[in-house]
Amino acid sequence: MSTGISTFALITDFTAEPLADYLRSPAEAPTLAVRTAPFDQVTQVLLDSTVAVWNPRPDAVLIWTRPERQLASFAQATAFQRPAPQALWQEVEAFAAHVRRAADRARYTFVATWTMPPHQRGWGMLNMRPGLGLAHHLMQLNLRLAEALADLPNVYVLDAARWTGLAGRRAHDPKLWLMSKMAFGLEVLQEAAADLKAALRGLAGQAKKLIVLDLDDTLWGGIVGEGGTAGITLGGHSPTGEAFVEFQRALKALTQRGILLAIVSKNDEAVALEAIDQHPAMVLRRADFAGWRVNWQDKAQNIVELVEALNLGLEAVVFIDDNPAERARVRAALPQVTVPEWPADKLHYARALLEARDFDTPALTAEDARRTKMYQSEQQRQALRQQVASLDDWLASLELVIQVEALNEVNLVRATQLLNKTNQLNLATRRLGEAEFWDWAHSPGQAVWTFDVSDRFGRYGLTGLASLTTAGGAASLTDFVLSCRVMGRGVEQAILHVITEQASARGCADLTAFFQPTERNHPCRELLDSASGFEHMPGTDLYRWAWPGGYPLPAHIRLQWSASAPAVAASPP
Amino acid sequence: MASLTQEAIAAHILACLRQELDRRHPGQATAIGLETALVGPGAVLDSLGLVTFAVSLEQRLNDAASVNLNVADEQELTRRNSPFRTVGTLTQHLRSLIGATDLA
Repeated sequence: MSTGISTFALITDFTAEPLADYLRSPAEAPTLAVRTAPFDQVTQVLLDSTVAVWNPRPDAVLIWTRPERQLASFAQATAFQRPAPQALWQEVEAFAAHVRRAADRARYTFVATWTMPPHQRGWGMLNMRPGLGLAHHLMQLNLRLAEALADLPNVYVLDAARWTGLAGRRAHDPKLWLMSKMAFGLEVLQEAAADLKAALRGLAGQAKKLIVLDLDDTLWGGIVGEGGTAGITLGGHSPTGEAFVEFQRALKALTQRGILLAIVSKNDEAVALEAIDQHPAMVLRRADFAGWRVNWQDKAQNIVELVEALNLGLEAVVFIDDNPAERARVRAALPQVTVPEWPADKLHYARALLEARDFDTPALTAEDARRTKMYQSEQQRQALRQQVASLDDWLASLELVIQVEALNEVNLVRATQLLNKTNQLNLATRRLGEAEFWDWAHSPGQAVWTFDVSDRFGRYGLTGLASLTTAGGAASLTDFVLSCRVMGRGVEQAILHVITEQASARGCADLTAFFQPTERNHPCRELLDSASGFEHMPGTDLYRWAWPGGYPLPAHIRLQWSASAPAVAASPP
Repeated sequence: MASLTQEAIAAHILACLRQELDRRHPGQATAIGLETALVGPGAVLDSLGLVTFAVSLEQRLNDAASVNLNVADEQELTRRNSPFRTVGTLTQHLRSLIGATDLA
């Protein structure tokens, strides 16, 4: 799947060509066209927007420097002189100011933290002494750097110490430095490239959203169908039992980042659920799972059904199973699903999960932490639906309320996340960073509204977004984005109501929508082609508003305009 | 220090060379063998690639066979009749280095 991110620039004070090679590699998405800035000219390049590396504008850039090269005072410290702390801070601030100045020359800017080779023992046992030790200086410098750049929404400081740590003694090789000015070994550059690609996939909205888990020998040891709840290996004092608890803890922690968990297992459902509910060492309980398929059917088929029920795409799924045959089956049947090789040694399960690069997201929102709860509320809604006589009765029983709000500094993070992660009901599938989206929304003629939906079962959260571009009496619907979580309950129509009212309030008699087709957004075309009020212009992807008035607000929905809405949205109804 | 046959040394060299070429030119399955030139006319490596290849080979011989050699030797890399001319000449060079160490 394309990320929409294809060009990358490297600005380093060391030879970084092998890193460029790893970034160019098609073995892992995205494949990038990489430009490298002139060797060791970091400051000049950051200060000069005319340098070739900036033109044309790269999608992303990495700035990776050595502290002893960028910070003169730190270089003094490595020579066991004692620089004034103020001098160190000023140099960090100056470096951060250069990064800040260059931050709008790429969509996304990454800055690697400063590291020292582990063979540099500095002051030895005094190396962490405040005001003296190199290790202490370095930690403070990195914190200052991260804090100085924290307010830039398109700048991400990456932990280079992780890369060098993973590479161990191979992180630095004096020969590579002295013979080719490579400050880091190939293993470090490989780890860096993999983390950068994971970040770019996250920025493109391709982070995985659902982990589908097997049970026997995956969530616990042994076969629950044979030994029952008491017979499984979980917790206690055995290393294997503890390893499964650790793995479950790591999975549970991921739910706080908005990752959903589900089960697909060949088992008797009642027996498996009893173990989940009753085993005293279970960390994950029934409430932690957004859904499950526990039966004796093909796992690939179960995954398809489960993912459909959760209204997700298969490409959002990671499947974890200890059985190589099941993994191979799912890989072959569902190539969109990510199926990691799983360690044979159960003691490595938690580690394998923690080092997975599938879950990077550029921001965390309140919606993320309560996503499992939202899916469970949805299951309650669907249960109610089985009970009521008609769709209208069901919709009326939900008591839907939509809070409409102009794009503002508070909702920007979630709105940008929604814009970048939504695939199905998305008119233009624009992928923009927070700063880009903010700037665009505040350009003349643009207006953006967010839609926060709730019903009597709970809040769905900020799940809708629409933007209008107006000029000379004509309005164009630029974005129409709706999370699949609220599709099919009249929210689409409520957004159409707001859009048509707003276009009319701006004196625009002509309202058009240009549909940008993708592999996934056919639900948006189906909405436009249904009784949306838009008429399809034959032979094009253009739609024109054709009804005499605006779209009526569905009777079962109550619209609430936030006080901040008129700031961008003039004359709300 | 463990002893290595000429064939085993060549296999280590070719594995490192394959790794280097795969990184530099992904997807291009360049044929390599004992006659493949590493430096000079027709060389498959540039100067940076030669260094990373030599350091990787040094590390690989150490990891796989507990052989500690100075493969990435500046003088050997740059001298006129460099042992890095081809995979074959490098194999012979390393074999003689290992042999000399074994005798020492």
